[in-house]
Amino acid sequence: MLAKAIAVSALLALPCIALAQPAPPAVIPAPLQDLPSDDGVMARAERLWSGVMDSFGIGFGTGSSIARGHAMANAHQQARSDFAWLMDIAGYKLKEIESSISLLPSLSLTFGQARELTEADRDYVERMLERHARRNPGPISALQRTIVRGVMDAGELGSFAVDKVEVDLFPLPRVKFQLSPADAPLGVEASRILRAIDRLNQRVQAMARQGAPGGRQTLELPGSTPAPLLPANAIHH
Amino acid sequence: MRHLVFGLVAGLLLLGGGPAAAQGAMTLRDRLVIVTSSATVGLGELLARSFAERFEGVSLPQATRLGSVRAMEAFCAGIGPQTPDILLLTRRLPRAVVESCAANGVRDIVEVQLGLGAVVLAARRGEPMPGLTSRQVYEALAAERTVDEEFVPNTARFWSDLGPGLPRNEIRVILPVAGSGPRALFDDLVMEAGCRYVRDIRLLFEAAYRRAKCITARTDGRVMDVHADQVTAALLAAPPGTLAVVSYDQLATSGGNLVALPLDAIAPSIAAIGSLDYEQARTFFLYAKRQHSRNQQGVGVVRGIHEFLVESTSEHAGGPGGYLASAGLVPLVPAERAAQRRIAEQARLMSR
Repeated sequence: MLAKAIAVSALLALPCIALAQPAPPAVIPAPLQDLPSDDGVMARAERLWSGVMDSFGIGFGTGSSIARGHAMANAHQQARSDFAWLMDIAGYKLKEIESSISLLPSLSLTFGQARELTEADRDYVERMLERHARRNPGPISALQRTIVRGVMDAGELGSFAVDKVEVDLFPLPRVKFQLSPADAPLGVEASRILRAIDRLNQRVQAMARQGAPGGRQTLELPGSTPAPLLPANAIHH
Repeated sequence: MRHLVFGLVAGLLLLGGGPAAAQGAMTLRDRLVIVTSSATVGLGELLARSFAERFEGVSLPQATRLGSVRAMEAFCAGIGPQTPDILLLTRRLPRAVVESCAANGVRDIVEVQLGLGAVVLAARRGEPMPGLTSRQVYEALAAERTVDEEFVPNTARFWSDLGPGLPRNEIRVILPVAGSGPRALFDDLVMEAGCRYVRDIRLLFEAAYRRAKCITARTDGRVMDVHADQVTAALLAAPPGTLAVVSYDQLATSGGNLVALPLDAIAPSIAAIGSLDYEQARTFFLYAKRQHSRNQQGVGVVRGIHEFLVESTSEHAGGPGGYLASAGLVPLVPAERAAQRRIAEQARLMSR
């Protein structure tokens, strides 16, 4: 009974399937057309934009990057990860991407210092830059290495530290380093926080010195002396 | 007309004698001053001692460890007896620093390469041990490891705890004592390299604190510090499965008793070290201010810079079996050694 029901359902569905199928497309009588030339100014600017954005780690998936071959997409992927990796081992992480679309498009990358470098880290970066130069001889790669070397050289000025690196790609290529003195004075907020910590520390130590006659509660645990609070800049974790 | 010519000649004589008189006024030091990085301080002291022993009546050069950045700053601070004469580094002087030198009047710099420093992890012959990564060496030897962003004492006991395929041998390693050349290379090129990509270590901003967490070795008896030239003997007398950190030169002169372990999948060899494929190696550079060399007219700061350069690049210093090998230096290839010797003898200036 069940089998009969299934067979009947299948037979009834066949015309529906036939009706659901679209009609074969009509024949187009017009001849095949040549595509417009992609040698114009706007087309070249678009290709350059996509290439540079891909090289510096910005993959917005524009049409021209999608249309490129698989091997070239892999090469750009490698270049993107190489530059981000070189900046990472130089102690800088990508913090901001600023992009604007207009008659004159602009693109700017901002890297911030993520950590200081030891001597061994500097040696390592130099060695990786030499290896990168051997494996990537193109002009974009040379520009990437120049930026990383510039960051390293600026960091060796001794009494200054590079806080931020801004890389402008459009409309004109530009690299801007923001340096600050290594022994810069604390800002207003930081000074306020330090003073508050000092006051709290004094209060805790005063409470710890008080005895507990009559059951007054103190912070002193049996057998231990509370350690003084440390300022925030001494806490390394 | 005759008075005009006479006045012109007199003026030129005065101008020509002025700088010489001024330079003569800034003499004279009786000893060379050498500034070094942390990794080159042993090399600097060795060169200083050998120089003083080789030349009779010469005062022992003063070798000071400042760290590479401060040493470069001091070297490029200017010309004069208050500035150092020699700089020792484990990397080439960056272009920006050369420009800073030139801006401060330090224009005539001689650069020579002394050799290559390489450190290897060795086992006794007949005790097979697979290659290790620098990350595994760090995790085995560091005093602390990270657990949930907290630093806790390292309690790893066996090599098999650190990765698949490693033997279930007790972790026992002999290290050269802190302050020695091979130990400095090991700390920089193995321990720091091993911790460089540990996530919780990368989050530490301060370089000095991060380095301390990376290179501080455990003190629970699994790491033994021994004087650098006694490491080989200590390894041969140690229990089975013990490893040791030695310089490449010590490995080469062990008579086959020691076998080097591949580190990061590269086995140490002269070719691999020379091409820097073996990453636990670096080139040692010496920089000298030619402007400080005292000449026969009495202009200059100190005597002995040229002799120091020649001594540092001589065969009995940097050649096979030379005394620089005791600081762990791997000699350059013969052609390169000869080239560096010519640079030193001619005091040829560095070109950038």
